[in-house]
Amino acid sequence: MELQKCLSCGLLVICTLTAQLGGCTTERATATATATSPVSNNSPSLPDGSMTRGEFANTLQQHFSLQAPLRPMTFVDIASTDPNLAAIQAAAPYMNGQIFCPGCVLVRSFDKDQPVSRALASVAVVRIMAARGQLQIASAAEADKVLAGTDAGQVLPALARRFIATAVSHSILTSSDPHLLRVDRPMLRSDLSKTLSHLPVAPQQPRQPTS
Amino acid sequence: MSIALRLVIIGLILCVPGGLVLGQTPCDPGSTCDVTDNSGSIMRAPTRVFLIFWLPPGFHYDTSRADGDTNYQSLMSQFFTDLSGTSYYNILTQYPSPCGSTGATTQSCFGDVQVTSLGVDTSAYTQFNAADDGSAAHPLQDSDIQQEVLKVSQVNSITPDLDSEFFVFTGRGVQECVPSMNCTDAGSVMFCAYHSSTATSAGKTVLYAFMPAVNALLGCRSVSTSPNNQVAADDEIEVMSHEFFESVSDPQGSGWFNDDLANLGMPSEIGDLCNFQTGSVRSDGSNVTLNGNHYLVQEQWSNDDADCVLQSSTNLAGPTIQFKLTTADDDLRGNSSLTAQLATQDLATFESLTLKTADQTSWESSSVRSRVFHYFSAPTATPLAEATLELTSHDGPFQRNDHWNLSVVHITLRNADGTTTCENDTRSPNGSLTLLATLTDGVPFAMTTPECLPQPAAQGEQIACSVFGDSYENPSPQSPSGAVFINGHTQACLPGNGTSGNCARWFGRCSTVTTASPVTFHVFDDGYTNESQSTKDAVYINSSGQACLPDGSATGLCRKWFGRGTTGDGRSVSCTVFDDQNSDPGFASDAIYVNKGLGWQSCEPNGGSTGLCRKWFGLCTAQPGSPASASSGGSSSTGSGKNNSHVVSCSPNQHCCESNNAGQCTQCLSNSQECR
Repeated sequence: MELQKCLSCGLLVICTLTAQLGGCTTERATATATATSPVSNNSPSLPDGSMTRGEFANTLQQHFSLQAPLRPMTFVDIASTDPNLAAIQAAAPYMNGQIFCPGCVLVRSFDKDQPVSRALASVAVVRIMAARGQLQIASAAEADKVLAGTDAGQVLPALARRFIATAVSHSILTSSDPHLLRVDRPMLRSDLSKTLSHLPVAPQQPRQPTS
Repeated sequence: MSIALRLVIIGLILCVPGGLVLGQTPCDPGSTCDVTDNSGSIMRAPTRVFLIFWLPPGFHYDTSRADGDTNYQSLMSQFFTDLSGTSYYNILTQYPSPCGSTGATTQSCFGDVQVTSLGVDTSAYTQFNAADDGSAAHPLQDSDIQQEVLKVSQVNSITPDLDSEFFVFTGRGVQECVPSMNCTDAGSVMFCAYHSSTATSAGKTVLYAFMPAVNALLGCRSVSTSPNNQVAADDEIEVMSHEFFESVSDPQGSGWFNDDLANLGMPSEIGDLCNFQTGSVRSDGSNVTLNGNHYLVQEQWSNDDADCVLQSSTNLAGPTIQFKLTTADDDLRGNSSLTAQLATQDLATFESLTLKTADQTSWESSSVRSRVFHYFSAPTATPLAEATLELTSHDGPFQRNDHWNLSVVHITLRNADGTTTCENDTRSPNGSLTLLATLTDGVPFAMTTPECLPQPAAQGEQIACSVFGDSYENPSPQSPSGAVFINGHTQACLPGNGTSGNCARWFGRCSTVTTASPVTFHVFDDGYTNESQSTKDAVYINSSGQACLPDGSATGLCRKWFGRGTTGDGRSVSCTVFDDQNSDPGFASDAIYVNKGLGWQSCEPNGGSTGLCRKWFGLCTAQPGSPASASSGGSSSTGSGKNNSHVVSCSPNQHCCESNNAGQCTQCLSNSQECR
């Protein structure tokens, strides 16, 4: 019974197990990240295509087994019948862009068909891992060091710099040219798959009751 | 373990319907996300709002009605006019901050909102940058908005200050980016409006908000039924309420917001935490009535209510008590409740307050929570002597009673006018974040609040000081005084000569009133570091607010603090700070600094980041008792004689055992003792 449920979770679970055994290749992970996304795209899911915000939300939810927040957010462009609703609501808190736009009133639309930027995608992953205690956010001084000489050096608000630096340090945000992080560019599906393939996905142990 | 068995087990773990909680979503919109005071400024009353309608020919705010543009402008102005003194605006009273020369305050920071419409500026959007026409292809940039604000404020001869904000409204369909990643209709992050700050060429901070016509932006609309028969304007007001409340409570990103890092950089200001939440909407589309007019506004985060609200449940009209509690390394669990019992000096409990209910989410470790309550009487009429915190566990299945580690309790009592009556800081002597107490069921934590009890009258000998120019010339014609304030020209002023006082560069030549013993002071930095080698009888405040002693150089020896004064016969000197008519006095302190950023107020240490600040310093006294000598055998600086750098001369029944470079005695022993 439980095994059936497990298999119904999709390829990602299998891949996860394989990864633990050291057998999950990048190509397999790429296929997994796209195959498990129920978002229907107008354009084909090319390996090097831009990942949409909707796809990204689904990938995040599945890869990290995200739960719905206590009070799920609603979006004017996501209907209650939308098949992506649960994934979007689970991922939305981590995809919040306030860090890049301090002082802003952010839009109340999710814009699921818009590409997700490399900045926002990598910060979302950093947030999830930080919330699980799997990494620590870089200090301002560490961020200065990591981002020195990069194209992200001056364009990001102070707090966002620390998160982006954390992403770079943990190979969550990668680039063939270390000086060109291109944080404002869309995240490519292949890049995200490579990133997720080396990140831990195993669930944490149940938390001990706090004293 | 076989691979198949591991697969089954992992399947069991991963595929439980609903999934496992792998870590609490940090401060998601349903959580308690209290904002905390980051010691920066807030906007004070009267808060001035200037409206700039930047509308070149061909652009409009609303074409759905003939008077669309003018009605739109009128409603923006009317909203701010109606905001003053409303229960909606009073949500902000729980987020106080030091408020200038009249002292720290809660309510008096918030009062009138004064709005001025600066009319329509028909200049082209390309006036500052020919490439920025506001189209999607060539959006305006933040720099265009900043230049518009500076231009219009200059044209209207408005001197910007930290209590004033300029709102710039652009026409329908105009796009803007800040910086290139964030735009109104595209980019990595899309926004509806923002508040920010810039500076004049003279370096003066200018607060402003960019307000595009949000009704034209799909993700920025909130109105279904328009309470003012103009959807575009009502949409704008909803977003504007978000920005204005954030501007008041956090104008420069250093005021009230929740800890960005603990919150993983997610929404943090009081508007962000309730973005586009409007609560219960009436049939006419409004959710509040302000000064008789109906509006749809955004809810704001309330620490008092641990929720987004349209008015705070706490009646803050009148005296208040604020608890600011810092959790150490063990959280206060979500299903635990916390109360505070307040008692008078005879330990009669007179009020019980609920700081946290069992249905509010946990107070995480190393976090700060602030709670403000109505205090049932004037704090001076019913002085607070003791507060007892009591935790009650409401255990769930398999849970044991909660334990909560507390590191700091900071209590502030304020009068009805918002002035601070007392601040009492209780923390471990080992440091601010070390354990103060562990609370669990049946183990409450009681703390005394000595700072809130009537202070015993000073028993020491009073001290009076003079002011004078360089080389002690041109002393004030007034008699020496026990009160000095520093004016905006860094002069020291004694009472008299109207409100300006009798002022000169230096203050000093202080002496005890009865015995005429001269008083001299040290200067030093935080923690009494870098203390001057010797004391001097004259001090001046430099343009940075430092206290300087004459040392033969042009600038003198300058440090943050002055104090650790001593009389000629070796008594230690303490002073305090206070406001006009000796009101709101602080406590006896051996250290005072002048806070340039707070209008040159004098401040004494109270555990907070700025200290307790008032207009005047003085009421200095020389402590009673025999002059300092080694005979006391204590460990204080004037007791052991081993590190006594504050003694200038010994009393007649003493002799000097050690002198400093200035020839002043630094170690006195009684005549019956021999120097070591």
